[in-house]
Amino acid sequence: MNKEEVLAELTALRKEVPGIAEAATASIDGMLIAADTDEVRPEVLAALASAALGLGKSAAHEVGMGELREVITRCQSGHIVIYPVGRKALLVLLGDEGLDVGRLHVRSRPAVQRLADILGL
Amino acid sequence: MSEPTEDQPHGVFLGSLLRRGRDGFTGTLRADGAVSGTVTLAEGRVIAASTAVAPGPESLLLRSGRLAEADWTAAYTDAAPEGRLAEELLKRGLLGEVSLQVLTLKALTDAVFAMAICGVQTCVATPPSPDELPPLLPAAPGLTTRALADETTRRLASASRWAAKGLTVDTYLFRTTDSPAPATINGRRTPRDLAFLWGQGLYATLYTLADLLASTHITTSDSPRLTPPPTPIPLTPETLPQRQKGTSPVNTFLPFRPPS
Amino acid sequence: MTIETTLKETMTIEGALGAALVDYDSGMSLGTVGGGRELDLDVAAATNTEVVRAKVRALEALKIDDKIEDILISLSRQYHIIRLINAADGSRLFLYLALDRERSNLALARHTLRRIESELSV
Repeated sequence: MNKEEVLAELTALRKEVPGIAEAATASIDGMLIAADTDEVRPEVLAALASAALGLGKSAAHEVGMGELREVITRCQSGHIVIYPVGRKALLVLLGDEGLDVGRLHVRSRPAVQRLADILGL
Repeated sequence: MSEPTEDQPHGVFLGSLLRRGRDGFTGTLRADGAVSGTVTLAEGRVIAASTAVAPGPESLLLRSGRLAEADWTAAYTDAAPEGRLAEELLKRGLLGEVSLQVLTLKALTDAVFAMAICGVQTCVATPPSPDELPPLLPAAPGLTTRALADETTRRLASASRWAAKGLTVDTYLFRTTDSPAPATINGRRTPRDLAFLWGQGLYATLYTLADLLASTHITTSDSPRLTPPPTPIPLTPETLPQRQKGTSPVNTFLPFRPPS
Repeated sequence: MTIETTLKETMTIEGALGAALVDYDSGMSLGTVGGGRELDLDVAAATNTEVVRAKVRALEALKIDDKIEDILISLSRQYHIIRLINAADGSRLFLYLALDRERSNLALARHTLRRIESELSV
């Protein structure tokens, strides 16, 4: 696993989708792998994203709606979006209120796949 | 000002807008390209426009602190479902009539500028449909497409002057040493990001930044500042938020399963 | 009170040739009345925005802790008055008024503009 490559993916995604302010990748249990963040504590973000993703998965499983795609939290001034990366990692993005979530999904799927490849998942 | 034609840059978008205006069109013009957005017309006048690259009326009001979140939410809850948010904001005395006009005109003009500068490849007009949500805060009486196209052309001309100096919608901005520029210009934000953060239009933000650039208070770059690789913080109970074990009702519904 | 009624009231000032309400965050005119071939108010809005912004910056550079009330430009046959408006919602606007110098009373015009501004601010 190459940490620089992971970081390059995060930065590229941030540049590609207007409105993403912070991005981090973590293991599924919340240990930080790489972060392109500035105003949040990446370790804490990684841990919380792991918890949120876990809760999302349990909820999806309980109601029988199939595989979890992503967890989106919408707040007063922005969005928190968490994608599973393979079975063992996750990607968490923070966007402002102008984030085009539809466009993000289109752009982030290939990025998630590339991250999975880099991480060897 | 001269008529935009289809072969000019931005000609497809502004040309299509002008044509709908002349036809007295009522409905939505959907623009797609580098970004997406919609322009809503009523009898040929533009009453609203929205895109992800320009802050809408809600962001302009809330982010700039012109309106408190609680006041907005209360008015929104009471009136937005029936589509009379504007009347409600006036009734509650949260905004004056002129302020409301100013806000809606600023937001729609900015959205159209943002779409035009990012590049629109296709424009599709759809008549109003009962399934479609009407714009939250339409401008009354709105702008003629002629006035809107002229204003957009003027803005595009300024923007291309700024672009020649290195300032575009997606350049990253850095403060120079001892700069009086806002600290939110931190090398990780583009004009679009700052527009949302400041609760200001995209064009107004570019204008502010152009002034700062001219007085050498800021510099531009195509690449964002990268934060230094995070220094590993030991994950201890002190550094992570904790909740009390067993207090969540989730365990009542989802029996704990050890990871397989 | 709407943008239109505000501008109409501005035009009741003796000697008024044209008026515009301008957003000087962007230089866009939000409404115009009067004007014509000799006075393009949309162009006046954009160019006078530069004047206002330069003046605001000058005050900041001089560290003068005060606010601009109005800016007067005297031509040989006209007065142009830029009246800055403190909108309650924080918008940065100015009222732009062109007057015929021979037919107008500057003091009275400024007084009326001040009153219109106070009506707009609420």
